[in-house]
Amino acid sequence: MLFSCDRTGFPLVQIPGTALRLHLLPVSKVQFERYLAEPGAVGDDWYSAVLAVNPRASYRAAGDADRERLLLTGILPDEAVHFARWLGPGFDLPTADEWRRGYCALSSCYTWQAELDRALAQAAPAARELVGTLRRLLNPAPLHQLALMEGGVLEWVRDGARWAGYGKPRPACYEVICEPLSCPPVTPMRAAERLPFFGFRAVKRG
Amino acid sequence: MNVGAYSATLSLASGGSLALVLDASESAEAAQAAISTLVTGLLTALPARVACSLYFLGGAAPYSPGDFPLKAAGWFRENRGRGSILAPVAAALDTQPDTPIVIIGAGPIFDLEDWADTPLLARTTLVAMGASLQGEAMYAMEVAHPSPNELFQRVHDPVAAVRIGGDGFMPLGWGNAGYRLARLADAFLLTGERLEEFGTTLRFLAAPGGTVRAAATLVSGQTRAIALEPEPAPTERLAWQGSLTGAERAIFQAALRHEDFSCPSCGGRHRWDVLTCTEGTALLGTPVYPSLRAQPGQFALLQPGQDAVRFRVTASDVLPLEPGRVVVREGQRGTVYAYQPAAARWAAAGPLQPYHPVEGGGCYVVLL
Repeated sequence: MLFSCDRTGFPLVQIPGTALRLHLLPVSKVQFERYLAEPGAVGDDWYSAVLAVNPRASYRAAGDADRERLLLTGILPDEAVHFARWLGPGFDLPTADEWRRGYCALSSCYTWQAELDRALAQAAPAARELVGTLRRLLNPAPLHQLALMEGGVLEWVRDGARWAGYGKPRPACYEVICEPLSCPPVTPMRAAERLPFFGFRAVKRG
Repeated sequence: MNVGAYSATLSLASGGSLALVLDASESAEAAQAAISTLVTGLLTALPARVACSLYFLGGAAPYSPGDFPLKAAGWFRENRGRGSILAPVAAALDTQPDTPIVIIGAGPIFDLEDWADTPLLARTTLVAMGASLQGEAMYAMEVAHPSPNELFQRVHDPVAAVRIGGDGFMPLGWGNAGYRLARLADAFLLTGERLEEFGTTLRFLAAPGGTVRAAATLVSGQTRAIALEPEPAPTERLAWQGSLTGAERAIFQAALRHEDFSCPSCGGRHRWDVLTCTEGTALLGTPVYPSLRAQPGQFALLQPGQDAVRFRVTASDVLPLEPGRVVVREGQRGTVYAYQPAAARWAAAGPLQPYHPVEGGGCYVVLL
């Protein structure tokens, strides 16, 4: 697996045989706050509304019960796209197919530790700490476990012209069973509602 | 284990330092005028020697506090809409570990919890000019709506004294003349009190692998450790300052043979160890080596050669004699101290005798 970092210093993973790079983790609050700190990004009121849906947990003191609170959820798809565009040219939200391809590749990848460690040496300190915390909490074997494609949240994907969600959240987070390889993505009842179990990761094409 | 020679630099801004972090976020927009007034008042009250830096929440770029009264409005515009996020400026503040921090704003700083129980928040004062910056949590000291004078009293806590010491510490030389050699119990210290400038370079002897620390006492009575990073000191080459006159050389040569000598001042005979002739009319006597007294200092090193006796006068109260032995000036006498490796301490080993030999250089030392 080939790892790199985005402008926030958080890791991306390249899907073998493609030019596609996915965020290794769903976008976390500490990562999103790099964007929030920019002048005229989204503002404190907007972020307060998002945090009201799923309160923040510190990546420095998180336990397993706090896992979902590390991630930025409650964000709407168009807002997530704004963040992706801010990351740079080529960044977007993944299509359902791209997300599934990423899931397949990461769930069959068991030898990633050394390469990830090398990439993390160049990453933001917060990214290193967050990945380290997740490795300690999850003891992941296949990479999709560390990537929280399992045990994370539902993530916004483009499903044709509509927005839907892929992922295998813990039952405590989202009770409906989602199996990405056999089920269609989850479509929320109200697309404009901030949902505590909907987050996202970005993709970089080309 | 013997004693090693080291050098270090103590960096400490005179009058202390202060980092101001201002909130230009949406939640502090209504408080911008009050923040500007408070900061202008505080900057006016701070003595010029306080090294002050200025940042905005969400950014890492420093601004010049001196320009604040003129440029504040533009700077707030430039940073408007930044989220209340500490991370970017925290990275900059981590490089100034001894600087107190004041964050002035309104509304919660979202990532404050990431610095809970860290030294960064321990030296931070939050100033709420609207809603609390930490909500109901208690990550740092917070005050609400202070006047400029109240805030000044709270944050201006300059250094009153600095004390440097440690395992086997024996200072040999220091660049700041305000520091003084002191002895506390069996330990030697370098102390500076009520100085305009506390920064200094220093050379010293210490136990290899031991710890040498600097501690600052603030006006409030609080103490703060200051990082010292000693490095092995290079061997110092002696720079000679001049040569004795013919008459002085004759006295020196007689003294080395422990023979009485003829005094050029009074014309009488003196014992070999006399350094000041008290037979004349001068109240404090007349030095038998006028060349040495022309230089201000504590000790004189004398090196006999083929045709001349060269000398050097040293300014420090401490002079190394040989490995593990130094002489310390204590009023009008010199005391030789020997290093005790087991205790990492210096113990008195007797008074300095005139013309005490100094190992290695073929030199002799006298007290001035």
